[in-house]
Order: sequence, then structure tokens, then C-alpha cells
Amino acid sequence: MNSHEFERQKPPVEEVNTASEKIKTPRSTYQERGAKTRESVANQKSSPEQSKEALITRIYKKAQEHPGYVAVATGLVVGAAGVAGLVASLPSANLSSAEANTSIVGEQNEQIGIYDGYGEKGMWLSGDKGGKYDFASASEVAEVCDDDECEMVKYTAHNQVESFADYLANLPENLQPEGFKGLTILETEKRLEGLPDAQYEEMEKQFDETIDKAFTREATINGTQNNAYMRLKNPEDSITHDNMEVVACTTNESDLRVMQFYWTDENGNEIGHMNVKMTPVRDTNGYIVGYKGCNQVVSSNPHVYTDMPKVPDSPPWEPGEPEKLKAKDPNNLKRIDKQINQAIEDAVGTEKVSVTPNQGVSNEDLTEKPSSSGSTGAETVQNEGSKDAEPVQNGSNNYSEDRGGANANEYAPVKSNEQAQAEADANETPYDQAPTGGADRADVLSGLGIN
Amino acid sequence: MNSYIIDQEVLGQFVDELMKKKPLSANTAEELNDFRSKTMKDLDNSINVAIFNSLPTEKLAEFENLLDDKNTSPDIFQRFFSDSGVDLQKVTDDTLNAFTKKFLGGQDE
Repeated sequence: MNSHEFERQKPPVEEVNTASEKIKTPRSTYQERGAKTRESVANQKSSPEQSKEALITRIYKKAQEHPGYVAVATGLVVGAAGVAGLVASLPSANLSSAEANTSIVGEQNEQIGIYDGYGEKGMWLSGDKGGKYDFASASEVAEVCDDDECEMVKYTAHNQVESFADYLANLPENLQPEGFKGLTILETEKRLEGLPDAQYEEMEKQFDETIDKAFTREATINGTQNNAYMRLKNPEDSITHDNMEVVACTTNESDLRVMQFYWTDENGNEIGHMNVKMTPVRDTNGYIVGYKGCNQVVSSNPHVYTDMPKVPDSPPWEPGEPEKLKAKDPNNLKRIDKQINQAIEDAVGTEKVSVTPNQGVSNEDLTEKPSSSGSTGAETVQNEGSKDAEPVQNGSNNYSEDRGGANANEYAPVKSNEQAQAEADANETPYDQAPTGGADRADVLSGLGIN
Repeated sequence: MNSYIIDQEVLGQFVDELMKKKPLSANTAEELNDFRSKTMKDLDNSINVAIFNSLPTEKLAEFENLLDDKNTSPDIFQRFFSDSGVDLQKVTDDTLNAFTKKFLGGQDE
């Protein structure tokens, strides 16, 4: 259950309207827009120093993209009395290279994943990447984020720029930040990596705010879906940034379970959603005990995956730990059965019903006593306190055919015919052979030789 | 697009040496790498801004024209700065020295 449902604030109306207006207007490229902005700002400044500052800002951007100048600048640093030579003139190092790399990081590397320090914005890779088709190690992310799906997406985006690009490119367009609307994943990644640190951090902050406003729900989706994931270029080499690439694949899904992030307007109407594949692992009680793999977006929109290296449409399935679906508790069923049986026993009892051949007489009316005549059979007498039975007559009070087993409340005529008594005694069924409760009346009568 | 102008491997090598010489307050791998990336960016920015500022304003516009032409070779850039009276190597050396002294002598972030 998403605890944020009643806590998150709805996006203000002006933000939505602003986004809609900007969607309708023709878009220039981010760099063009940025250059115009800087130029217009520069023109507003009157002092020569401010104009030069603006010019240098523009030049800086262009210099980043010019290979000729890059070579010059790099050569200058290398030639600065040699990098090693310059550093050698500094005070002696207190830590060896190995100590510097391990003393601070230490166990953290093993706990939160290994950051290769390549230099890109937050490239994070887990030493144990998990599944082959993962975007990140979802189980590690889930542990860090306490299984909160929104926090998992934010954490993954903060620590892996490819993931950040994947999320941004797949957000509903009205929620995408300015300069990133309608871009592919690769275009988004390139643009992100080109941002100065301050702007990149601002992008992260905006993204966090967008995710914080999302509601989440589990959903199943079908049909052709696209998704991107990280894979090793050379599986034989180690897991480093250089050896990783983001690729796209297309799969035909049936009842694919995803975590759906959706946003609503101030009236509670849904304005967009995004499906993120986070495969949960459940225990036999149906509780989520962790996540395996993924964290990437699953989308039916192929545009955002343009120009991305493609892998075969159906990646080979790799057997892994099977996902445990919520199962009924067999012990619970057995327990219910036992309860039912106990209830039956309590209500009906376990005593077997004895059927006497002397129809019309309830057991309570009978008491065995030695026969006064000396016969070996027991003489039945009417107990004190029992009601007098009516003489059997043909017609209305012949209750014998209405009897179905012993019933203390029913009264039946007692045969006063000694011959009938003798016949009944002879036909008496031993109690242990008498049918128990629930036996069919016809079977009982049949067992007594009575049709 | 490279987020640095100077080759990041070269930047990284220099920054790694600096970081080894100074006790840092970073407690996690993430903090450490964030600090490293920021230091590299600061160094890259310092060197290139120093190079651009070494040119007078009127020469900056001319320099920008060279940047607009993707075919401008490194030699042409070198000659441009030389003809403008700028010793690029000295500018770079001075900037690196100042950056290093500030890094080792000031507060780490």
C-alpha cells in the first residue's frame, strides 16, 4: 500500500499548464536555447567584464566539442613539467595508492556496490551485477532503499547515468524537464553528461520531485514491449564502465508484472504513467522478500530506443531462482478440515446408534432387565417417566413408517403382541452391527429384513 | 560529448596524486568519487578559463571563429595563441601550481 497517497501534494496547476504550453510551441534544441539564453543575458549586461565572461562561457562550451583544441589543452597539462614531476615537487605522500583506495572505501565497496570511478556522472556498477539483463542490481538497491519503489528509482538514477536517461526519456512528456522532452534515451544520456555539475544536480533534484509525486501500483502488461539494460561488451573482461554498454531489446510479453508509476492532476485524474520492471521474489505466504534484477523501464514506445544497439528480440531465458507466487497455505486447509470434522463430532457425537427391532419404541423407553419368565432374552419394559404409547392401529396413528432412526421425542405404539415380541427379539440386530448415524433408512430397514 | 575539455584520464591521474597527499573527510565510496569528479571538473575549468582569459577580448571573438570550424588543427590553435603573445605552457603551469597549492593548503570539501 503506498503510504504516500494521502501525503503527496498534487502538482500545482501552473506547472501543468506551463508544460502544456511549451509542448505546443516549436522546440529549438537545448544547445540553441541555451546559447540564446546566454547571449540574451550577456546582452543585458553592460560592463565589458560581464560581456567577456559571457563570451568565455560560450567559448568553453564550444571548446569541449572541438577535438583540435582538446588535444592542445591535454598536451599542455601533460607537458606541465610532466604530471609526475609536478606532483613530485609536492610534500611526500602520506598514503600509498593502495591505502588511499581502501582506507576510506573499505567495506563500503562490498555493501553498496563497486564504483569504478571512471569519471562519468555517477556511473555505478555492482560487483555482483546480478542477472544478465539487469539495469542494476535490484536486490542491492532494494536493501538500500528499504524496498520503497520510488526511492529505488531515485537511487538507481542517481548512481547510474544510463538509468537516469532511461527514466527521463520514458517519463510522460508533460512531466519531462525542459530540454529533454521527446528525446531518445541516448540523446538524453548525452545531454545529461554534457551538463555542468550544478545543472546536473538540479536535474536530479527535479527528477526526485517528480518521482515523489508519483503513486505506485502493481500491474500486468501484455504485448510488444521495449526495454533497455546494461550488458558487458566482453563477458570475459571485468565489470568496468568501459566494458559496459546500454542496449535495447524487444519482447512479447504476456502478463508481465511491473511496478507502475502514475501521476494525477489536482482533480485526481491520471495524467500519465511509467512502467518499471522490478521483479519481486515472494515467500510462500506471498510476502515480498526481495527483488531480483531489472529496475529498467518497460515501454511500448519504440521511439526512445532509437539508435541504441539492439539485441535479438527474445533474449534467451536463463533459469534462475524461480519466482514464488503467492500460494495457498496447505496447512491452513488441513486445519480447516480438522475444524469442520471436530464440529461435526461435537454436534453429532461418536456414539453408534443401536437399532432395535421393536419399532415404535425409542431407546429411552427401553430398559434391559432380566426376563421374569426366565428366558435368555431381555424383556423390554417401558421406563418410568416415559409417555404411554398409543396402541398401534391401522391408519392415522401408525407411526412406524414415519420413523427414521431413534428419536426421543417421537412416540410410537408398543406392540402388545407377544408373538410379535418374540419375532422382534429373534430379529434383533447386535449393536455393533447396527448402522450408525447417517445411514440410509432403507438400508437400515433392509438390514433388518424389513422392506 | 566529453564533459571535460582536457582528457579525463590525464585529469584523473593528476587529481589522484593530489588526493593521495591529503587526508580527506569522505566516508563512503560515493562521497569519495563525487569529490574526485568535482576536483577534476574544477581543475579542467581552471586551466581552460585561464587560457581563454589570457586572450584580450577582441582575440576571443577570433578564437571563437576557430572553434566554429571543426577542421581547425591543433597546430593552428598553437600558432594563434603564440601570435597573440600567449605562452600557453606557462599559463597552464601557473594554473596547475596555484590549484595544487590551494588544494593542499586549503580546506577540503
